[in-house]
Order: sequence, then structure tokens, then C-alpha cells
Amino acid sequence: MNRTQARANRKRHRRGYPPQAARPSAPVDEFAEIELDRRSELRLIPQSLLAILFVVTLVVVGRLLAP
Amino acid sequence: MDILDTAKTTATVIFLLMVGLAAVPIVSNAFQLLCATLHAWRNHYDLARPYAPRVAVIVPAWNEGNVIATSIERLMSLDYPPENLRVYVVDDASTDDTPDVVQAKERLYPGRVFHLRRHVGGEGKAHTLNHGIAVVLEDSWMQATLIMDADVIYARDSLRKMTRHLADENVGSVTAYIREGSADKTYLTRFIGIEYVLAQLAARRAQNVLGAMACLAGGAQLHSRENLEDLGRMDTSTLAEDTVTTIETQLRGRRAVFEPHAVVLAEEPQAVDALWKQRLRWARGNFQVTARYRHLWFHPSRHRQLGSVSFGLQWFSVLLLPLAMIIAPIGFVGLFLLDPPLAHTVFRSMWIGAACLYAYTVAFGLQLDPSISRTSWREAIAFPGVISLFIIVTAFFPGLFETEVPELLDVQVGEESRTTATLFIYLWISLSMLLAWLTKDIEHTRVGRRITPALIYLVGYGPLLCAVTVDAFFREIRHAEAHWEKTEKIGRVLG
Repeated sequence: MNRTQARANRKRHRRGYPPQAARPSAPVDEFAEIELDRRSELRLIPQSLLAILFVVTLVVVGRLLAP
Repeated sequence: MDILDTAKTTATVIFLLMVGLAAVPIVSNAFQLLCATLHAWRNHYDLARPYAPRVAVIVPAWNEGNVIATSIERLMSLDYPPENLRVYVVDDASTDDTPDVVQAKERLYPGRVFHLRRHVGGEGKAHTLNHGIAVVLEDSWMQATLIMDADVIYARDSLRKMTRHLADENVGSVTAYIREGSADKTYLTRFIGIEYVLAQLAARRAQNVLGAMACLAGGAQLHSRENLEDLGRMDTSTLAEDTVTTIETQLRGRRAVFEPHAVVLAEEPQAVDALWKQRLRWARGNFQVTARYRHLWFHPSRHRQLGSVSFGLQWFSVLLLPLAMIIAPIGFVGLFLLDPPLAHTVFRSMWIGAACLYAYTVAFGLQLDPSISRTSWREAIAFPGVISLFIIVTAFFPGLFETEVPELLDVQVGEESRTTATLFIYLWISLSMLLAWLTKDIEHTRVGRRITPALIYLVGYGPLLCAVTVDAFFREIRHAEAHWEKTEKIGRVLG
């Protein structure tokens, strides 16, 4: 449900009507979905490396700026 | 002279040991974050399969008239086979319009929504859940049970993403990612938002990797029928029935899995006092669970990952973090009195280590949930408190505030002022908990209400949580009355 639909539903809720169901979506290939979620977990590696890079940069900059 | 030297050496070693013990949570947290990264490879997706069992959803409700209609509607619109989903609202003798709202939904969705009424209520969530569990277990229709809170909103695909793990018969229960979802965010809900990212998306991934789950989220617990039959009922003897359920599931040889892609939105407290009450209940529950399973901790066994050293360290690092925040300053001050240069070195080493971990946690955490990061990045930075950030700068740049800044401002700083400042810096992590506690106490005053947000940013949200744990510890020691206090929900979740 996008933001516009959510806003419309909140308005309906205030007026006492039930929310409108989200538009029916295409059937989901659940095997593909599992595979997608499994692969998206691989993002943790670059995210972790980026965080390490951030820390190393802070330490190096800190050393350079140290009085 | 020799005796004096021996005494001094002994005292130095004791103070060093105190600081060393206080550093254990830092090491444990670093290990936990490393494990979270390993979730890239070591996860449960290889054993997950498309699976849509017949799910009975149990919703405990006590005076939830504001939120229950939306919750039921959202459950009805889940992307899940409608014939395989039934909702049982257990009305815990509500005195508001909850029964009317639920009965209206029961008429609107015949055979899919059920109103179960308890005529005597107020005994707490676990008793309410047990009423619902007894009903769904009587019927052979149910293959899995989802236990949720009345105010939470499930993303359309969340239940489907949870049930796929039950395709593996070794899995007894699955939990989801509870995301702070208030439409009108305050400084406090933003802090909670980032806390949930770290405590769930990072910590529970790590627990998946270690094969031991500390706690299934109370608002999103999916149990297989076999597991629920084995458990029988929710524990009513502690304030942490969800943690007991999690541990009991694993002790019976079944896995508890965290699904990070199943998102559930929840409404969280907007005032420090309400947050304090909620967390006090959680923390007291955790102390009760710690005592109840005392035979379990640090007793490694092939079948019980809960007894592993790594899991034990994680469990106690959270529980005893306030103790670390008390003994570290004692160690620093003790060393300062005996050997100031050594105290300075030890203090710098510990704070630089903590600062690196903090920087890593913020940088990593902010990438885990971009929707929370967009609104809560300031709170992620201010999590330990602005004053602690200054101390981190002091640790990185010794002499900056003692020499460089005063010289720049052309101000003379005496030896006494330096000593006072040093002692303040050494004692700060304990003082921060004390100030956080004070913040809770002054929040209800007119001035307090205005300055509370600024105070929380100054002393930190982390110290506030630690102060709650200290309060919980003393209440447990005193055997103070423990009753279930519901967190007020008014339907602010942005669906």
C-alpha cells in the first residue's frame, strides 16, 4: 500500500468506514522471494566493510589531527 | 615500605581487573556485530520453503478499542490464503468498546474472526494468551499459531515470510522484526526506532548465527502446533513470558528463528515515564528468567546452544551492563589516586575501544533499515549521549579540553580544575545513569517536560535503559510487587 492509499484509508477510518483493501498484486513466486531474501543478506558484508572503513577513517583522521 | 608497595600493587591489580571486567560487554558486543555479518552466509533460508499452514492468530486485547479494528483489518488483508487464516481476539474483560468493535468484525468476517471474552480479566497478558491457546488447541484445524499484540500492524507479506521457516520441522517458532511505526514521531520514538534496529536486525541475526535466540518478540511469535502443544501454555510466573517461551522452545530441541524481512510495525511509548514502566517490566522479567535458568548459563552442550559461552556473554553483557558502568569509574578513580599516568592510559584505551565500537555500530546500524535511518540518524549518533561524545573526543585528543581549548580562549586552568574535570570524566558513565534516572523523575513537572528531551540527548538513551535495569535489579532484590502494566496504545501506527 502506498502513502496515498494509506492516507485515504486513515481518512476512511476517521469517518468510521473500513479501510480499502490494497490493490491485488500479482501472485508471488515464493521460491524466488526466498532466494531474493537470501541474497539480500549478502549485503551485510559490504555494509560491514563500509562500517569498518568508517571507523578506520575516523581513527586515521583522529591521529592526524591529534595535537 | 614493602607492605605499602605490596598494598599499592594489589590495589592497582584490583582496579585494573575492575576496568577489565567492565570491558567485557564491549568485547561481547563487537563479537555480536561480527556474528550479525556472518548471517550473510549462515542463515535459515536454505531450509525455508513456501509453506502456508492454517494459522490461528491470537490477539490479546484489554481496552484496545482505539487500535483493534485497524489491526483486524490489516490481518484480513494479509497476503496469505484467507481460508488458512483465523483471528481469535481474546478480550480480557475490556471495559471500553473493544467487544463491540470485535463483534462487528466477527459479523463482517464470519468464520475468520472470533471474539473470545474473558469475564474476569486484569491478570496480565500471559493469562489472556492462555485462554486463546486453550481454544485453538482444542480444534485440530490449527497448524500454527501467531501470537501478536493488539496494536501492531503486519506488513502484507510478513506472515508468509515467517511461515516459510516452519517448513523445516526442526523449527518450533519464528519471530519478526518489530519496527517502531508511530506516525507522529517524537525524540523518544526515534531513539526506540534505532534501538530496535540494533537489538533486532543486528542482535537477532547474530543469535540466528549462534543458533540460540534470547527472545521472540512479544508482538510477533509464530509457533508450530507441535511446539505449542509441547509448551502447553504461556508462563505466568514471570514478567517475561515471551522469553520463557523462547528458551523452553529451544530446550525442547526446536529452533527459534528470526526473520529480518518480515516487518511488523508497533506503537511505542512517547514519554520517558511510560518507557520506564515498559522496560522495567522487561528487565525484571529478564532477572527472573536469569534466576530460573541458572543451571543453563555457561554450561555448553551439543544440543543446547543456549549454554554456550558466547550466548552467555551476550545475555549477561546486556543484563550486567549497568554494573560495568559502575565498576569502570571506580577502577579509573582508584587508578588515578594510585598512578595517574596509568589511569590515563587505561581510560584512553577503554574509551577508544568503546568509541570504535560505537562508530562501527552507528555506521552498520544505519545501513540496516534505511527507513529508520532517515528519521533517526541523529538519535543513532546521540545514543550514548552528547556528553559521552565529548569524552570520546577527549580520549582521542588528550589535552584538547585541558590545554588546547583554554589556550585558544586565553583562559587559565588551574591544577584543581584539571583534577576536578578529570574525575568528572572518569565518573561520567555512572553519573549518566543517575541523571537519566533523574530525568524520569522530573518529567512530570512543567519545567521537566520541557527540558526532558534535551536532557536525554545530553545524558544518552543508552544510560537511560541501563538506569531502568538498575531499578529493576533493586526491585527484584526487594521482591517488590510485580504486576503487569499495559503500555498505553492509542493507534498511532502508520500502516
